[in-house]
Amino acid sequence: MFGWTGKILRVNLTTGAISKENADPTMLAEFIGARGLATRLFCNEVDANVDAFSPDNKLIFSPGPFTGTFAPSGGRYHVVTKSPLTGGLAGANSGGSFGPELKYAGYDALIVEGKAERPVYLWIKDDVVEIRDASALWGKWVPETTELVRKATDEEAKVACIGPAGENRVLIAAIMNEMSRAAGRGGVGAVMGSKNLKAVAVVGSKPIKVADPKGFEAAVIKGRELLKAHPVGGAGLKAYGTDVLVNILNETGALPTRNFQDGFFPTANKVGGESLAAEILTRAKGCFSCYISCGRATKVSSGKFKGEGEGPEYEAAWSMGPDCGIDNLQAIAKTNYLCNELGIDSISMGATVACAMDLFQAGYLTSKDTGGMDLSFGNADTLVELTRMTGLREGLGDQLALGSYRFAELYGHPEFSMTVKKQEIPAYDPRGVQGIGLQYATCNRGGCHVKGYTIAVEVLGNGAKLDPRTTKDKPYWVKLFQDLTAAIDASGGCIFGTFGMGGDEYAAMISTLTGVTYTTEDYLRAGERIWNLERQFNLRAGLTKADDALPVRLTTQPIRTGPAKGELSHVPEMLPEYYALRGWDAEGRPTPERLTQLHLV
Amino acid sequence: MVVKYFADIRKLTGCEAETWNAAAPSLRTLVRQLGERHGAPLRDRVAQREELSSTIIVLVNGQNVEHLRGLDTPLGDDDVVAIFPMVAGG
Repeated sequence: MFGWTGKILRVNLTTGAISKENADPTMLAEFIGARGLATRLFCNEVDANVDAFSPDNKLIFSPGPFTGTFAPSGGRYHVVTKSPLTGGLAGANSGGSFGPELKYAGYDALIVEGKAERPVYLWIKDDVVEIRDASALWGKWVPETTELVRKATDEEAKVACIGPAGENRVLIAAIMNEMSRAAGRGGVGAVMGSKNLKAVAVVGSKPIKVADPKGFEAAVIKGRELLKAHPVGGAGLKAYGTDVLVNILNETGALPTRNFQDGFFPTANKVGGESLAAEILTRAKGCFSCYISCGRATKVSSGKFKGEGEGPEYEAAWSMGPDCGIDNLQAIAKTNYLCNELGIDSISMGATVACAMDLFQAGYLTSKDTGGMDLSFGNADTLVELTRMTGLREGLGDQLALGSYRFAELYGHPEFSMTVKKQEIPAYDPRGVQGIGLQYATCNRGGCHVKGYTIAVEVLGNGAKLDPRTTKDKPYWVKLFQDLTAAIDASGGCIFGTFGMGGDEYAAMISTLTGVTYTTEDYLRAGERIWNLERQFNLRAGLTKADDALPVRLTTQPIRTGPAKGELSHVPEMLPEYYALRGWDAEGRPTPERLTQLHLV
Repeated sequence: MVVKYFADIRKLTGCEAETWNAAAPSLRTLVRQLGERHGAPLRDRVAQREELSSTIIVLVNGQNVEHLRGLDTPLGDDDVVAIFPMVAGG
């Protein structure tokens, strides 16, 4: 088998059984790997109505065919489980080098099932797999956990683990690998914690076989040259990181401010990528086989927010910054370090604090509720402290650990939660950028930008230049980006590769690597197949068309100030066209005809 | 008029923003004046052969000039012009 290892590792934490199975070649060809393979396996094996914290829920880690090869930015893996946050399918993606190591150990997927009686970690060294006691690790933060596991196994081991947030079933807990890379969204860390699984450590030494080495080399070189020549993929992201977006979104009038009360933050420049590069950047950092190097190694050298680590990325700088009315970059960096160390999704954390601040401003959350803490917008000390308290479930943090929707619901006003499917929406105001709102509303994992990043064509002019304020053609672009991203995720690629490469390049690389011929249309069709499979799971789990909606604030309360003043989101007007393009009925259910076309019947 | 610069464009201008007092009835005029003030590297970065560079984003009052009138977009005293290199993130 080429590109794939052809093996799936299954570990049952209840019984201690460890087994290895052959992967179905047809399944691999149709679902590619990573997001696609893990979703197919999960849907085959898990009842959609399972409780996310039940031992019957499963947690699947899966690298893709690119993972571990020298395909540009092709070192990613996907985690799939039932989300305790959304009640639908969770799919969280991460870079670093954990995914490649799992592949070198010989596995296309690791299925974790059941629940251990006491804390354990997995130690995988090629064919030798052990379930080891992790009692001494329980309660440790991510950096210490990672170091202790390496000491106990192999200094070269790649470690994915949870911090206190995952142990405490914080519904926005992440799985962290190499300390600072996050499979962040959907509460996957909480599911890992519910299984008493503290960490997975891997060392692998097996090769990945290539079907057409010369063809693959040529396809990779072509893709790499396109990336290098692109102003974004080649140099832009390395120089300023993703946080460079703060200013352009603000100047567009679509930088969500104070929990989406507004779309413009006058002092945004203080938390943008230019300021980050000038004030706290120590070096740019890339994931496995990445030419882009968008990662930020940063350090706050002194003061009360002193610390060192990675980030913030744009999303975190926004959620902890303008969304909370905060323009203190050092406090944002400190909060981001805490998210990494405690194992929390940095988007949902900042956005949940923003929601709490909004409730506090409105008087629905009082000093009595907060134990005297001042949750006024702009209070940087409060942001840092609430993040720590959330990871440890202390005081008000015990409620914030539920995410913003359930938190706001506790105080009688769920409409203050800026979520879709109970997951916090990210850093682009859908009132100022119409297409991304449709992506938020329809994304299978809840509020998410990255699985259909229309910002590329609506704001950044990458590939096409669409007017962000109109709805024209947006359903087409949302579907196209969702399908292409699903295929890239399934391949183990990073979507930042699209800042240089397109479907043709991806199809050429995957075909020469695996020996399975994919035209560009085949590749996109595989992505569409994955999208529909995820949708089917969510429908079985009880989600409906009503869940394909933005918070009511965004369709009824216009942006107050800035360049997009007066704008509203028009998602409801775009939804019927989107369903029609997807081949779904008026209720958003895939039709039998479309499912047959996609081989999903 | 206020002209704002971002990312590596700031290295060509040496400042983050400046108030523009000279009459610039259109973006085309402004680009020419930018070249006179900050040099050919900036002018060429923004536009080449009477066309906006494909690696630059120019907003006037928050709207991309691609959706206005490009280099012929009219400018007035109260306008805000923002000049970005092509950037990305996520």
